[in-house]
Amino acid sequence: MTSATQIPDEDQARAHCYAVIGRLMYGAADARLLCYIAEQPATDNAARLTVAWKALQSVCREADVDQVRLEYDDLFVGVGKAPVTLYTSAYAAPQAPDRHLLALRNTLDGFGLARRVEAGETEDHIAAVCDVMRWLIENARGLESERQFFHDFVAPAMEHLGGAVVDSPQARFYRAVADYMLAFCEVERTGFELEGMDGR
Amino acid sequence: MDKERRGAPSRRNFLLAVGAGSVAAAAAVISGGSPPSQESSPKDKTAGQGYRLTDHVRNYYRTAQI
Repeated sequence: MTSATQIPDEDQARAHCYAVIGRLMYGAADARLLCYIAEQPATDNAARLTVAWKALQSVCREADVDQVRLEYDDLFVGVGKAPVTLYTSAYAAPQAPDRHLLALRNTLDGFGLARRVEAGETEDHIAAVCDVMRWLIENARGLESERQFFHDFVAPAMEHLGGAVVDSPQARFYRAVADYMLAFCEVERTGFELEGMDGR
Repeated sequence: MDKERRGAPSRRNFLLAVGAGSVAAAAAVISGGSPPSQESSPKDKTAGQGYRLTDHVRNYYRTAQI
């Protein structure tokens, strides 16, 4: 496996952003995660991503872990049908989620990836596709692979999911999470467009 | 393999300018998210406390044995 230190700083940074987002969406934030996010040094930068990060840090400082758990369950688990689903097939291909999931599995197979038996969630969980992006970046599978996967399996769903959270009256902590996720998604979109514009 | 520049310079400059680097430098401490081969790297030592952000999610996928 390619060493992570062999990829450029900005790409290692992107991989870590995917890791943070994936973790935040995979399950309710625990006390240690809240503390770690809160304790990071702040940078002085007006970029949307930085602003969203600082806001996320702020809610982490103020958060009550039990309340965060309740909010996560209310938003994403729910009783019966969750208000906001974390399964990206529902957003990316609402008319044909099974076909989307099959396409995703075929793509993963092409990368040599398969879901672990013990993983309870299907491959289209937002945390899972974030982890694929992390994996693609850290294993230097190439910008084209990243761009294709991002556009096919990450971006539309991330934007719809994030928007649904932001619009939900139940979201407080997770609104800040969604804002960060949406800000990063925009960074990724722009980054890939810049790549394309220069004709590489 | 050398640490090669991937992609267009404008892309790199953009990513660094929007704080992707600074933000995720922080995220790196949280995630400790480097492969097992990186256990001894300074970045992991800085992460400290052994908190592995991505333990739940990373390695979600197993790499198929060829």
